[in-house]
Amino acid sequence: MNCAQSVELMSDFQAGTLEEAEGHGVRLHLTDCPPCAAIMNELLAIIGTATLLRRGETTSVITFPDENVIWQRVRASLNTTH
Amino acid sequence: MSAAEINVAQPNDFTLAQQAAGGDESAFEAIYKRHFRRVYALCLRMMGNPTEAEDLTQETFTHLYRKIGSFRGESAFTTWLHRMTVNQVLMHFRKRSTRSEKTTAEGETPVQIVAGTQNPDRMPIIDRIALDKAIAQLPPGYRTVFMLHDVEGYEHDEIAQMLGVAEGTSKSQLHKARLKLRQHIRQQATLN
Repeated sequence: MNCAQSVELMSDFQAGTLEEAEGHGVRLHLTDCPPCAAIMNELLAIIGTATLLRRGETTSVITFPDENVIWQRVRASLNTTH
Repeated sequence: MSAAEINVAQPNDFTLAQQAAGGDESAFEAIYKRHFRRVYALCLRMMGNPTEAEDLTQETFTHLYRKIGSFRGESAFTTWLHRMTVNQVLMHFRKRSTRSEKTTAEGETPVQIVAGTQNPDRMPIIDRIALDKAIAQLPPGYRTVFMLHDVEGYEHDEIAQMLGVAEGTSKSQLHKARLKLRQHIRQQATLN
């Protein structure tokens, strides 16, 4: 297996959905290829970090609009739906 | 009044929802104020555009007002509202009819695996802030699938149904989205 093939299969490898032979091929390649192993590690870090964003747990880089302005818009639309 | 006393006096979401369903606008306003940031943050992450996120936040709360009587308290209100918000965003995509065009176009874009890296051996910091910034740079189709799968936890068969695409397309888009995110994060790291 070459690097391009290995990268192509990384998400399936992570999900555990590859056939046994393909999974074995990716595992072997990652063992022998530090650049591909680094890519795999970074993808795993992205996947792991994504779960921290779930359910609005972080609002670290978001600039929120004025909630009162949006509320007035919501209120106006409620009056038209009554 | 102490903070603890104020907390005790706050009615829970279910009570407020029942009051709002009965026409109590102040109860609905209390729900809005409690959940506004959460809904806006989700809309912004999925849309990647503050103006559209504001519009969708408004639409979501308007829709919530009409449907709030159907909340029975069987699940957490936040979970119920979260799903409603995701559905509103997806409905918005369908109305614009841009989803399939953009995902298809972006799906054909070759991803440069190590482009923009000065030092490919060094792993950049991948934290919530870096990821949030990178998500904002994703093309809409990639962002939607990544948000639904890796952030929201939907399965590929559910995403395929929601977006009206094949399950394989969802898988493929997700993989390309992750590679794009990695590329954006690396590029950002080299600029810092």
